[in-house]
Amino acid sequence: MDRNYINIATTGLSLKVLDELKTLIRKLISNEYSINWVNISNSHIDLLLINENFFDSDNIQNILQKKKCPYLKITKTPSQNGYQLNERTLHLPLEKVESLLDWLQINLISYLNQKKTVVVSNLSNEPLLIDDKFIRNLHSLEHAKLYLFDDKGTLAIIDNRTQMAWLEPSRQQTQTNQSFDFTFAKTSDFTKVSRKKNYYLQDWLWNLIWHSKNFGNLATEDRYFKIDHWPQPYQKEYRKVSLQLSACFIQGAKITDVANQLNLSIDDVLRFVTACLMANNGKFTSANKCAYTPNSYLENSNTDNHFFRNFIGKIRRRFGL
Amino acid sequence: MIIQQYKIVFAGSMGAGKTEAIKSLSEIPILETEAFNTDVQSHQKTQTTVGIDYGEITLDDGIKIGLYGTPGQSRFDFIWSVICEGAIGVILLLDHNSPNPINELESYLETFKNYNDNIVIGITHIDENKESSLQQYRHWIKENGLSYPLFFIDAREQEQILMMVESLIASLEVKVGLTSQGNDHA
Repeated sequence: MDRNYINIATTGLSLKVLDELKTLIRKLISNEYSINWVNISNSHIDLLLINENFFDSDNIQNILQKKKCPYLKITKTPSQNGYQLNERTLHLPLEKVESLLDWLQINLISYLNQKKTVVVSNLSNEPLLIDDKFIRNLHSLEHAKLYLFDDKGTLAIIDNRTQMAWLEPSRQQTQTNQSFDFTFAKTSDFTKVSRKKNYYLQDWLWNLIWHSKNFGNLATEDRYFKIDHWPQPYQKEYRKVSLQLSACFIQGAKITDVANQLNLSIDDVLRFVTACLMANNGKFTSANKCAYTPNSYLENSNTDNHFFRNFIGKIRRRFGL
Repeated sequence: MIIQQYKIVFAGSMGAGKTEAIKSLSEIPILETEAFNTDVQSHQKTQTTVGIDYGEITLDDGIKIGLYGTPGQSRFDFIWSVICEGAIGVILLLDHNSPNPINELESYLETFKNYNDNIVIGITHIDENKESSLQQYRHWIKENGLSYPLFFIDAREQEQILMMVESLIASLEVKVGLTSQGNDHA
C-alpha cells in the first residue's frame, strides 16, 4: 500500500516546544499521512517551522527562497490582536487548535495536492521477514543506537547498551505491523524523538508488539516457551491477562496448555510469546525444562477452591483489577 | 498493633516509598510511627518508619485486608516474620538511588523468601538516577534463577502499586489453578 508522507523541518525551537508541536500536528493531520521530522537541509521539505526570532536571518531567508515551501513562525509572545494564528505566525501556547487545523488544511494539505507530490514511502511493499536473525540484530550490543520505524514513520531510537528507548512523541501509545524495521540511528534522527523521558527498552518493545494485533506471530502453538522476566504492562486494559500469562510462562510452559488454562484464544497467547521474542525476553525450550502444570491441586478440593476463588474475586473487585 | 488475618506486606529499603504505596491504597488514614533516622549512611531521610505503617482495605463482605509497612532499618527485622505470616504476598520496594541496590535486593529476598515466597519487586526513584543501569536488576534475577516479577515504578502512583498487587494475585491464581474454566478476562 502506498502512503503519503509529509516532511516537516524545524529550526531554532526548544525541545519542549518541538515536542509540543510534534504531538499537536500529529493529532491534527490525518493518519493517511505519515509525518517525517526531517533536518532543515533535507531536499524535500513540505513545511518549515521556524523560531520567529530567527526568521529574518539570511540563512532562513535563503532556504525559504530556494524551497518555496509553506512555513510557520513560532513564538511564545502573546498575540496583540488576540488571534493565536496570524497569517504565518503561531503564538504558543495554543488554546484552540481549530485555527491551526484550518491553516494546515489550506496551506499544507492543499499545497501537497497542488504539487501532486503524493510521495511513495521508501519502505518496501514486501512484507519484511522478521526472524531470529532480525531479532538478534535488533538487540545486538554491536548495534548500539538504532532507529526504529514502520510505514507510519518514526517509532523510536533505542540504545542496546543502556537498554533505553526514546520515542517519537506522538507514538507513545502506539501499534505497529509487519513493516516494523530498523536501521543505524543518524545524528539527525535524534530530532525525531523526545529525550525528555527514557523508556526501558525491553518493556517498551514488549508493549508495542503486544498491542499490535496486526504484527503476525513468530511462534507456533505446539511449542514450549519460557520467559526470563515478567514484562511490565503499561496499560491497565490488558494487565490481568498479561500478568497471568507471565505467571505461567515464567515457569516454562506449553503454549496450548496456557491458552486452555487461561481460557484465552491461541492467537492472544501467540501474540504474548511474539512480543516476548521481539523484546528478547525468553526462548523456546523443551518440555523437561518447563515447570508449569495446568492442573491445580485445588481442583481436588472443592471447598478450598470455592473459598479461594471467592476471596481472590473479592480482592479483584475491591481494587478494580 | 492490629494483626489482620489477611495481609499484604510492604517491605524494602529506607526511603523506597513503602509508606506512600500504602497511602495510595488504604481507605483509612495511615497509622505511622516515625522517628529520627539513625542510619544516615543508608539514606538521608531524617525521619523514617521504625514501627509498623498500617493501612487497610475492606472487601465487600466486610473482610479487612491489612496493609503493613515493615521498618526499613535492619535492626527492626525481628518484626518481619510476625507480619509476613499468612500474608497474601510481599511487595518489596527498593530505591534505585541507594549506593548498592543489588546488595539490598539480595539481602531482602534472602530474608523475606523464608517468610513468604509470593514476592513482587518494585524499583523506585528511577528518574533520579539515570546513570545507573536498570538492566542490572533483571540480569541479577535471571542470573540467580529467580522468577519474581520485577517492575520499575513510582510508589506514589496508585495504578503502579495496583499492578504489583495484581501480579501477586496472578501468581496465586496460576499456582492454584484458579485461572481455568470461566476466567473473566473482560
